Amino acid sequence: MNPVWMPVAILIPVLGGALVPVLPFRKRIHMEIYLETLMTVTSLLVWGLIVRGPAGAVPVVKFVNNLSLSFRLDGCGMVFSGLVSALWPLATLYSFEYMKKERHEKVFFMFFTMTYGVTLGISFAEDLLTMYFFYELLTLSTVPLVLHTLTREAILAARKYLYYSLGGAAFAFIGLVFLMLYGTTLNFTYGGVLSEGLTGEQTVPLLLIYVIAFMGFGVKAAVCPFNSWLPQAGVAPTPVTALLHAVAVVKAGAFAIIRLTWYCYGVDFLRGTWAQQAVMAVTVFTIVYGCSRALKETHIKRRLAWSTVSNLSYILFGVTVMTPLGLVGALAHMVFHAVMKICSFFCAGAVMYRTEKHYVHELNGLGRRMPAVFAAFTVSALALMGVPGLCGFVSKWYLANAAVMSGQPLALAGIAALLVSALLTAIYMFSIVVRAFFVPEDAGEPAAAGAAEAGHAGTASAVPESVGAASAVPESVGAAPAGNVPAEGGAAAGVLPAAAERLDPNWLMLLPLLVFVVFMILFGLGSDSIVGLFTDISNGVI
Amino acid sequence: MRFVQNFPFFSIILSMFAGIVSSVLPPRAAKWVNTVLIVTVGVMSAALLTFLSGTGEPFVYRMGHFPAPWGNEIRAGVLEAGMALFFCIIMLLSMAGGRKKLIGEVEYSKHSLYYIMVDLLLSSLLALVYTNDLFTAYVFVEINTISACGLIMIRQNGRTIEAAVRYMIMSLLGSGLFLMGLCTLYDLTGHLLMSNIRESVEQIMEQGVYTVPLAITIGLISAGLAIKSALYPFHTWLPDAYGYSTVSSAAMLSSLVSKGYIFLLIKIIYRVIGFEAFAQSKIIDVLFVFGVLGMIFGSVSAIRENDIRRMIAFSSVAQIGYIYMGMGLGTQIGMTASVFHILSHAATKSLLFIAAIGLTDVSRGSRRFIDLTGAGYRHKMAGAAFTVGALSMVGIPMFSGFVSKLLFAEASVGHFYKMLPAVIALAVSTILNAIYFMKTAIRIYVPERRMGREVITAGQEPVYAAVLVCFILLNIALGMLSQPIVEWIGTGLSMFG
Repeated sequence: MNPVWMPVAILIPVLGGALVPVLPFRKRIHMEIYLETLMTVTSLLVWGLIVRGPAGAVPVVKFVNNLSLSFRLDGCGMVFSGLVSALWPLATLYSFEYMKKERHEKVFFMFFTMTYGVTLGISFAEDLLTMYFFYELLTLSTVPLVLHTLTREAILAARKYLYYSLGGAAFAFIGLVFLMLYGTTLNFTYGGVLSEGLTGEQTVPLLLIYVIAFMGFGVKAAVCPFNSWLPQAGVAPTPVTALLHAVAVVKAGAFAIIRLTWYCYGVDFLRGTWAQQAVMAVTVFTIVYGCSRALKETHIKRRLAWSTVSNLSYILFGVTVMTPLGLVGALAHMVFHAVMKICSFFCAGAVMYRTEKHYVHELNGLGRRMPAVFAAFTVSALALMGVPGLCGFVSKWYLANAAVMSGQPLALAGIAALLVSALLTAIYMFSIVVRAFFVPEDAGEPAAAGAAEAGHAGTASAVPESVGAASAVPESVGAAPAGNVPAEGGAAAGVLPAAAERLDPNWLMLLPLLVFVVFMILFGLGSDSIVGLFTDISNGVI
Repeated sequence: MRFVQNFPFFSIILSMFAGIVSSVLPPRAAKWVNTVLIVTVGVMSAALLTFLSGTGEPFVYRMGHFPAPWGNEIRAGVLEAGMALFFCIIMLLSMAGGRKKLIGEVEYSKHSLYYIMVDLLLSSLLALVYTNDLFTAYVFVEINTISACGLIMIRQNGRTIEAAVRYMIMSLLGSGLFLMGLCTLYDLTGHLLMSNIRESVEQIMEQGVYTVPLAITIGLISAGLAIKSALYPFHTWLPDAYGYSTVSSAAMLSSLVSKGYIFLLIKIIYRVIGFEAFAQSKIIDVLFVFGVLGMIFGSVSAIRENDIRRMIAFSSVAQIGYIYMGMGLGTQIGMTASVFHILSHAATKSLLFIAAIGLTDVSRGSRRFIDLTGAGYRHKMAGAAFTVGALSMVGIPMFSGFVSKLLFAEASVGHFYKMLPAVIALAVSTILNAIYFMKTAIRIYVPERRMGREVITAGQEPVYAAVLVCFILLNIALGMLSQPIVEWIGTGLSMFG
C-alpha cells in the first residue's frame, strides 16, 4: 500500500472525531454507527498497511532546521499500531454501552476518537521529533477524557496527569535535543544513531541525558517515582482507563523508551554502563512496588491501575536488559499485557456499570450473577499471573529467559522481582475472583450497609435474600422475579434490569470480552508466529 | 538612493507628527489617526523588508547634511525592518483588542492623550530599532519611558499610580546606568555613532588597553537595559504595571516596550561592542545566571499568584529570563533563539493579555481564579485563544513557544559548562509553566453551576473575536513556518556585523 495512507489513517479519526459534536445525529444509534464505521475503516487501513509490510517515508510538514514531521512504518511501529488498531474498535463498542450513563458523551467520543489518530501518529512516527509531537498531543487529547466527570476528584487527577506528562515530556525533550546534535540523524534506526566521532569525549553527559530522557518518557510508563498519576487517573470513565491508561497512553511511554533505547541511542552504546544499571534498578523496583500497592488497594480500578504500573515495568525491564531476547520479551509483554489488562478493566467496568460497586469487598457473590463477566475476569487473572497456556506466561518466559542469558547480577534480581510479582499478582487478582465466586453474597454485612447508604436502601435487603433463595433452591427461579419486582422498582435509576438476577451486560460489552479471552488463549497456546515476528524485529530484520 | 530607503525616517517622523497632531484632535479622530498610522508604518516596513531582502545589503541613511562622524544616521537591515513590521502588527492587534476596555476604564476626555502616548511609543520604538546613533537611542529610550508611564497612568486608580511611580523610578535608574555607560564609551572612543565606536573599540581591544573601563561600560549598558526590560531581580515594577493598567497598555508594555530595550541591547552588542568582545566578557555569565534564575523564580511567583492578570505578568519575567539566558550563552545560535523568542513571546503574551480580558468580562470583572470557573464556556473565543496561548507558553509543538524552546535547547547543548544548567532550567521551567497555565486552562473549562452570568459570543464583539483569531494565526504561523523566520533572523544578525 502506498505509504501516503499513513497520514490518512491518522487524519480519519482526528477529523472524524472533531466532527462528532457538530454533526446533527438524530438518534444515538446514528452516532454509534458513524463512530464504529470510522474506527473500523481506520483499523482496516492500518492492518492493510501492516500486512503489506514496512513502508517508506512520507514527510508531511517542515519544521525548523529542516526537521520535518514524517511517517514510516517499521517492525516496532507495526506492533504498536497493530495493537491499538485491534483494540480501539472493540473499546468503542464497549463504550457505547458504558457511556449511556455518563453525561456529555459527544465530547467524550470526540476526544476518544481523536486520541486514536494521535496514538497511530506515535506508532507511525519516523523520527524522534514526530514522535515527540504526537506524544504531547496525546497528553492534550486525553486530558479532557480524564476530566470527563468534572468532579473535584477528576479535576485534581487531570491536573496531576497534565503536570506529570508535560513535565516528563520536557525532560524527554532534552534527550531529543542531544540526539539532534550528537546523532547523525533523528530518524529511528535499529542500532542507534549516535555518531562515533562526536560521542568519544561526551560519553558521561550522553549517558546522563539518556537516564534523564528515560525517566522523562518513563513518566507516561509510570516508573517509580512518577506513577501516582496513573491510579488517580482512574476517575475517568472505564473505557478510558481500560484503553488509554492500560494500553494506549502508558504503552506509548514504553514504546517511546524502546525507540529511545534501541533506535536512537543504540544498545551497544548503553550495554554495561552505569546508565543501564540505573534504569534497570528503577524498573525492578517498580515491578515489586506496583504489585505491593495493588495488594493494599481496595478500589477495583485503582488496584488494576497499580497492577498496570507493575506490568509496565516488566516491559521496561525487558528493554533495559538490552539484548534482542529482552526486546522480544518486552514487545510480547506489551501486546499480551494490553489484552489481559483491557479485559480485566472491562470486567471491572461492567461490574461498576451494572451494580455501581467500586470496591473489592462489595463483590461478594457477584460471580454467580455475572458469570460471563467474571469468567472473563478469571481468565485474565490467570493470564496476568502467568499460568502456562495463557499469554502472560509466554511473555514472562521470554523476559526471565533474557534476564538469565544476559548474565547481569541486577537482571537476576529482576527474575526474583518477577517471581515475587507473580505471587503478589495471584493474591490481588484472586482475592477478587474468590470473593465473586465463593463468598456468599450476604457474607459481608458491612458491604451491604455501605450499599444501603449509597442509595440502594430499597434493594439492599430484598435482593440478597431473593438471590440467596434462588441459588439455594433452583425450583424457586420462577418465583424469584415476582418477588424481585417491587425491589427492582426501588433500585436507583433502574440499575438492575427488571426480570432477573443475571446481571451480565448486553453483547456490546460481552463481545469485546469474548474476543480478548480468545486472544489470551490463542496467544498462550500458539505464540510461535507472533514471537517470530518479535524476534525479527529485535534482530533488526524488519 | 531609492525612494523606499526613506521609509525608516518617514515612519519615525510620521509617528511623532501623528502624536503632535492628535493633541488637538477629538478622541475619535485621534483613534483613526492612530490606526491609520500603525497600518501605514506597517506597510512601509513591509515594503522596506521586501526591498532589503532583494538587495541583501543593509543601508545607512544620513539625517541632515553632516557626514559620518558628526551627523546623525539611520541604519536599516532586514532584521530592523522585520522587527518594525512585527511591532506594528502586535500594536495594531493590541489596540484593537483592548479598545472596548479602554472605553470602559479611561475617561473619554483622556482618550486623545492615550493615543498621543501610543503614537509616541511607536515612534520611539521605531527609533530604537533603526537608529545608528547611541545618543539618539538614549533620547528615544527616555521618550519610550515617558510614554509607557503615561500608558500605565491613564487608567486612574491608586494601583496604577503606584505602579507608574515604581515603573518610573526603576526605569530612570535603568536609563541612568545606560547613560553612564554611554558616557564612558564616549570617553573611551570619542564617538557616538555605532559604526565609529565599533572601530575604536576594536582598536582598543587590539592594543589591550582600557580593558577594565570597557568591561564596566558593557556592564553598565547591559544592567541599565536589563532593568528596563525587567530581568529577574529588577522585575519588581512589572506585575503591578502589567497587572493593573488597561489591557492594551499591558499587552504593549509586555510585548513591545521591554522587547524594544532588548532589541537595542542586541544591537549594541553587535554594532557597538562587537559580538566577540561581548562573548568574552564576564558580563554574559551574569546575564546567563540571572536569566536562568528569572526563568525559575518568575514562574514560581506566577504559580503563587491568585490574579490572572498578575499571573500573566509574572510569566513575562520568566520569558524575559529565557531571552537573557539565550544571550548569555554567547553563541550566534543562542542569539538567534533569543531574537526568535522576542517574536514568539510578544505574540503570545499580548494574546494572553487580550484573551484574559474576555474571560474576566464574563466573570463579573473579577480576576480571581475561583471566579473564572467556566469562563471558557461563557466566552468561547477568549477561552480558545487563552488555551492556545497557554499551550504555546508550555511549548507544545505546532505553536511558537515550541520552536523557541527547541532553539534554546539546541543552542545550549554543546556549550561546555552552561549546557546542563540551561537544559535543566528549560525543563523545570516548562513544568512550572505547565502548572500555572494548564491550571488556568482547566479552570476556565470547569462548568460553573451558578446561573445568571452573562455569555458573550463572537458575534457580539466581532472586532475582539477577529483580533483573537489573528493572534492565534500569528502564533501558529510562528510555530509552523519557523524555518524562513529563523533564516531571516540569521541574515539580519549577520547584517549587523
